[in-house]
Amino acid sequence: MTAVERFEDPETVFRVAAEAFRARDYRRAAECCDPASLAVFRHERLAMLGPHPHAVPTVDELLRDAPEWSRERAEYERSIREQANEVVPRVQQLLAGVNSLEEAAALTPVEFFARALEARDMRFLMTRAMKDPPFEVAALARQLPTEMQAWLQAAPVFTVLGTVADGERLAHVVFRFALGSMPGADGAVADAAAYASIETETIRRQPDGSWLLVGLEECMGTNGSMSFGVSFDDSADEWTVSDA
Amino acid sequence: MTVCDTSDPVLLLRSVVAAINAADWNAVSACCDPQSLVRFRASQLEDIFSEPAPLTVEQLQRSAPDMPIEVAQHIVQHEQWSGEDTRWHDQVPPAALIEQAWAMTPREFFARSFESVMPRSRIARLAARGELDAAEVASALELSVFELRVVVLGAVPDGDERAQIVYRDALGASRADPGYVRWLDGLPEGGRALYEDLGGHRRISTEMAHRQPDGSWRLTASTELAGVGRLAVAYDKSSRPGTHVRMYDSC
Repeated sequence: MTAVERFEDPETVFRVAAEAFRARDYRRAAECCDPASLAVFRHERLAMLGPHPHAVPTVDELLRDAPEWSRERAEYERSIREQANEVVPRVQQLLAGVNSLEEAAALTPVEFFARALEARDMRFLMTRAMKDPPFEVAALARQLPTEMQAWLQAAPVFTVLGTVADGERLAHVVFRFALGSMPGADGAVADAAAYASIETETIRRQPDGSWLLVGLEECMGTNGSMSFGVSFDDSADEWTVSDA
Repeated sequence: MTVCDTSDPVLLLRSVVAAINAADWNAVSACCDPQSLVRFRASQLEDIFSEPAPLTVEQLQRSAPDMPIEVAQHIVQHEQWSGEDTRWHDQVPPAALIEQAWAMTPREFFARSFESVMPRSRIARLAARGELDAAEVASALELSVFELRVVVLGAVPDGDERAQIVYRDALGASRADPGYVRWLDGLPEGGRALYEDLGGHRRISTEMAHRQPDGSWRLTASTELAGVGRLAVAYDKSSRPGTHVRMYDSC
C-alpha cells in the first residue's frame, strides 16, 4: 500500500484488511487503519506496559485478605503475580518480536499496531507456547492433537454480511469471523459455522473523504478469536473446542 | 403491556429496549424466537440443576504444571462450595424448584430468568442473603433504576432467514466525568476528535433476529439481550460504608 492509496467505501478497506490478515501481512493491515486510532493505541499500550504502580502484595497481605488460604497457596499466588508484573514478558506478550519497553517505544504507530496484531495470531501464540512456557496456555497447547493445533493456526475466514451507517463519519461492517473448517477425528471436517462468531468493525471517514479502519483493541475480530476456548473434557477423555 | 413490533428487525430490538425500560418481562419474552426459548429453557435447566463436575487436582495440574500439589489440593478443597453457591444464588430464576421451572412454558421461564438477571433482582438476592443492610439496599435499589439507552443503527441480512441487528449502547464514558475529560486531554493528536466521533467508549453489538413462518421477526432468547447482560452489580465490603454497591458495565 502506498501513502496515497484511498479507500472509497468502508467495505473496500475492510476487504483489503481481511486479505492482509489472511496473508498474515500485519503491516499492511495496520496501514488500513485510521492514524489517530493507531496513535491512541500506541500511547495507551505504552502506558500500560510500564512498571505497574501497585506492588505485588506480600504473602502476609494475601493471607490477611484471604485467611482461608494456606501459606503454600499464598506463596504460589505471589509468585504468579510477580511473574505477571514483570515488564519484559508483558511486552513480549503484547508485541510480537519485541523484547523491551525501549524497543516498543521506538516503534511507529503503524509498526506498533502490526506487532500487536501479530501477537494475537494463533500461529504466533502456539509457536511461542511450544518453545517458551511462561503462561498456562503453554501446557495446554503442547497437549493438543496435531490436527487441532493446525486448525487453530489456520488463516481466519472473514465473510462480510453488510454495512450499517452510524452518522456521517462512522460505519460498521458486520462480518462472520471463522477459523475455517475444523478437522474431525476421522479426517472429515466439522461444520465451520459452528465455530464462527458475528463481529463488527468500525470504519471512520477521513478528512479527505476516504475510509479507514479504527485500529483500537478490538480489530477485525481478533479479540473474538481469543474467545474460542480449548479445553480437555475429562468425562469424555477428549479435547473440545467451544465458542465462548 | 409493551407492544412488540415484529414487523422488522430494527423495530423489534427497539421494542425489546422499550419493554426492558418498562420492566415488562413478558413483552421481552414475546419478542423472542419460540425455538430459541425452548433451547434456552433446556440449557438453563441443564446448567442450573445438573451437578457440576468436581474440580480435581489433576485438572489443575494439567493447566498449571508448576502448581505445587499442596496448592492444587488446597484449591480443590476450598473452591467447590463457593462455586456452587454463586451458581445457585445468581442463576436460579425466582421459581427455584425444578418442578416449577419445568411446569412453566418456555416463554414464562425466559421472562422470569430475564427478570432474575436484572440489577434489582440481584440486589434483592444480596439483601436476602444478609449481605447488605437496609440503608445499603435502599441506595442500591436507587442505583438499579436506570433507563437502557440503546441506539439501534440498522440491520443486515444473514442469509434468507436471519438478520444481524447492530446497535450502540449508551453505557460509555461521559464528558461529564472529570476523569474521562482528563484522559481525553492526555491523548496524542487526533485522539480527542476520534473519541468524539466514536461517542466515547460505547460498544457496538449485534443481536440475531430470526424470520418466522408468518414473515415476522423474533430475537434469539438470551439474558444478555440489548446489552443488559453486561450490567454488573458489585459490592465491596472493604470500602467505606454505604458506598460499596455499584453498577457498572462489566466489559
